[in-house]
Amino acid sequence: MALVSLIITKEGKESVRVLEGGDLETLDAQIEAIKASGEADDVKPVFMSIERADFSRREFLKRTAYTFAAALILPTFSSCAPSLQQSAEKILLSDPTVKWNKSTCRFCGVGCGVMVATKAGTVVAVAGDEKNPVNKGLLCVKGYHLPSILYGSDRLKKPLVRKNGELVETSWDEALSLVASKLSETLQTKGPRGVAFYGSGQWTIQEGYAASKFMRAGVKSNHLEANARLCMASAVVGFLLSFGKDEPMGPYDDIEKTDNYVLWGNNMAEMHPVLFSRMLERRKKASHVKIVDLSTRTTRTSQASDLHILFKPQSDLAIANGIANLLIEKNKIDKDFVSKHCNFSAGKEDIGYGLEDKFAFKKESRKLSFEEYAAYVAEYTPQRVEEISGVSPKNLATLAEIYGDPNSGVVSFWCMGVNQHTRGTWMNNLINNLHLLTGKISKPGNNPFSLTGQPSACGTVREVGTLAHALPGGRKVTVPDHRADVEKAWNVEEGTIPDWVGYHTVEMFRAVDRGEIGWMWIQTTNPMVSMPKLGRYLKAMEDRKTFLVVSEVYPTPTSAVADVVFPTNLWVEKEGCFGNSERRTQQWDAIATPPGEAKSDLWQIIEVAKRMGWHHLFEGNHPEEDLYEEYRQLTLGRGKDVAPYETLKKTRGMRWPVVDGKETLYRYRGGEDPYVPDGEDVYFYGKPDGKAVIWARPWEPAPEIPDEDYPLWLCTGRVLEHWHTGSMTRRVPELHGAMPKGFIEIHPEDATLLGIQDGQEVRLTSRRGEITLPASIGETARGTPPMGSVFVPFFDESKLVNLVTLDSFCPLSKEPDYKKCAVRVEAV
Amino acid sequence: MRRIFLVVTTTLLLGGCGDGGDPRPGTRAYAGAPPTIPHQVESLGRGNCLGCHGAGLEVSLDGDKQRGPETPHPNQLSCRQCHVVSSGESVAFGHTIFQGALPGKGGNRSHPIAPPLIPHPLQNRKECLSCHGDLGDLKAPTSSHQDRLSCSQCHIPLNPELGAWLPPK
Ligand code: SF4
Repeated sequence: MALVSLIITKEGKESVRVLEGGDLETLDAQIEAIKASGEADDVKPVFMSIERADFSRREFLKRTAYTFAAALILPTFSSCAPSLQQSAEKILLSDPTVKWNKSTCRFCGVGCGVMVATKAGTVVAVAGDEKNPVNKGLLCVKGYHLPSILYGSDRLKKPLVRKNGELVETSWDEALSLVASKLSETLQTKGPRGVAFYGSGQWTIQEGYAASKFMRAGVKSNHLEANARLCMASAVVGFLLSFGKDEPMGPYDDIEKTDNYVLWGNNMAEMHPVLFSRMLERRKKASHVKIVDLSTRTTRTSQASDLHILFKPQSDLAIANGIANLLIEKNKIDKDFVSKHCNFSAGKEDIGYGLEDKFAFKKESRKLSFEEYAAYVAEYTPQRVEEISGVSPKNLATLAEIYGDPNSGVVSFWCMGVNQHTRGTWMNNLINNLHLLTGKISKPGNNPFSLTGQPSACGTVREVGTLAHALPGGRKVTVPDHRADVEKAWNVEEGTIPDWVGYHTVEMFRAVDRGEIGWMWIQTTNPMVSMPKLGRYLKAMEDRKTFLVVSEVYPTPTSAVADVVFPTNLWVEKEGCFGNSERRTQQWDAIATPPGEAKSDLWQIIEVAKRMGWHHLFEGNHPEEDLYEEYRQLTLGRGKDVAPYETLKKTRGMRWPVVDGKETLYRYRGGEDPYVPDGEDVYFYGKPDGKAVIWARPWEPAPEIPDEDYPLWLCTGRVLEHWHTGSMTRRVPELHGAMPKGFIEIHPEDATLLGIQDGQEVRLTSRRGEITLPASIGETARGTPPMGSVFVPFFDESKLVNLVTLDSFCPLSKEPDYKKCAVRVEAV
Repeated sequence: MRRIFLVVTTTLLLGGCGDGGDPRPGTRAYAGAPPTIPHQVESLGRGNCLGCHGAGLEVSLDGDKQRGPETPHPNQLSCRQCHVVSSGESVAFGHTIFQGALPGKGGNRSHPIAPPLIPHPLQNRKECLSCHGDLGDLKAPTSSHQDRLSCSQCHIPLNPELGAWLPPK
């Protein structure tokens, strides 16, 4: 048995294939078979794994008397490029003036610890932080290339204002005064409801908290949103409806403790790479551990999984109900747990898709008995589930066995596939249901684990509450006591915080188009690339329907339509905190010098506030620490107690609730979580009776389904190398070099039917718009969609796939569905 | 047999860097950064990187030696989490002004026959022979005593008390 590496040449392109179990005697025949299949014009063997080979080297050499194309080890492209290090003034890592500080990664919600090396205020290297339990010294390729995001040649260094249609450089004083005077003007003409602030899960906790104060106590408007609405709002509403409190109950430690990972539409190999490598290591050490990948496209995660189950878009709802049905049918539910800790409820059905402006939805619910719930899911028989989803009864039974086996652990992971879904909240409830029915929750190795895409979607958006209805510490603007608590902490008059719910993200941008918003500030995000049905909002901005202020680090399509652009500090150029997916709050210091006149988002908020006469909101000389400590007071006693700033400075973060200096690994578990009353093993204290809710939720179809005119499903998403809209990572040579442009993945058979070849330019059209981009088909493609589906990543601003997407959303969470709409593809 | 020194001569003329030198500095953003992959790989392949990089190999092409080095961290299994293939394109906008730090100039010895100090970070470099063995990095010194397996017994990191080039433990 040997491993034989082959160089496959097809239409001038070379790739490497490894023949596993390649047997020397039949090597010629195998190579001929590959050639005959039409997959390759030429095939050359290059190397055999000696370790596993059972033949002699002499024989190998004799056998491989082919021309050796050593493409495998050719020093191509980048290795020939003049090395930067060679041309630069040399900074040695052994230089004693190089300093190392801890920080956290700027990119994803995993929240890896990063050690950052600086020399005289310039970042010169990073390393994975071996002391940080999240990543134990390892990063992913984005994390390793963090330093370069600071050093693109076109960093914004001076404030810009629009004069005669052009953005021109100006002083901070002029820019800030203009922004403040326009804000005063809008407050006079349109009132507080004419003002909006839009941020993201990439705001530090302090920045989000300051923006909340600025809006609610300064402007007196709740039109405050963050792009996390587009990313995990469905998880928030799902957790709230199931448990009464947001955010996952388990820690990442579960990865090393569980026996099964079930990934619901979550390509972790590319999107949460460090957690995925922890899973692979665990599986290598414990061979019984299984990775099950449930997905609508074949990805690197599917390749590494033990079981890959493809399902039809939107049918995850039926699959989860089908599993619940089998659990009940096969008597696999934990009756004791369910009777002690769960209630059953049903909500409104046939709830619409939010496609019309000012779409309104009111939640309703009624209690069910266990028997009523069982009858409800009984409709999801394996046969019906197969009809809806394409998942075989055998695979459904395997999933039910995994969830139902009382002796083996299971962690469900999900992220955008479940959340960016017109029934995202329901789908979150349905996964929570499986863990509640089996009692596999709030205990080591068993949890529903919703991951976040952004580094502080949890810390800043969910915990600080930078959404239209939310206040710090899990409070709501509609609850008088909650407003009063916050007003007291902020030392502002009673009645300052408005009691109305502001516009959610999609509605906020629709309101811009309707001319309702006179002044808008956008920080740490790039909505003119990322909003669905982008054409409408781009045009509204280009028509100057609102006075737009954008804080940015590089020119982007969003800064291009701004009236004022503030040059902004990035990552370790400022001090702050992020909160990751496992409730871990982490802090870092400002250790790098920002370029030119750039200033932090926090400084900008405070300076505009001062010019508005709102000094009282931001007193103290160390705003990062002062605002954090003020915010912390609002988390205490609410089950969200974050750690003191001093502790965060010294540690690699702490997982809330942090009570008496102790972090909490398993929420709702007696002996682990200080909020669980004495004597209880599990207590869901977010609900008045301590019981979680198992929801009866149906499968309902997607709003737009492929038809004759638009016969394909479009799914959008990310790739390993790029962060969101690429404004940072496309300025990093290693990352851009690895993934230089947007593409459309098409199944090879669909491509043949459409007469499209790999690399060919194609037109992608929906009812909203069209774009052209190159096709990516076959072995060089990052993933493979099944027949009838195509995939396009959204990082490339020159190929705006969001001109094509639909702005339908989940009526409960208001999170748009970027994963499903109907399109047509043709060669151009 | 753990390592095989494989020399294959071919008639194929190699493109690439004429100097036949170490391609690695050009594939790293800074000392300690994961190198980019200087050859094509299948995007959705089964991750058979170890087919070549498990034990390492060398091919000599018309006298030009090329090596596929052994991985220095065989315990890490998701290779493409950190290593990506470069298309040769630089950046989408402008250019980069990032200057990555280089490893220290190494090999310092306190006296002529003292063992040299280690001039580079050790993180993710658990297998010294993956660079300093027969099939290692062409620019790294090849150990004259590969049968002695406890490298850190004699070689210690440069200026460890400064902690200047290694993240503090
Ligand atoms: S992008 Fe995510 S996985 Fe990669 S280093 Fe950063 S936090 Fe870790």
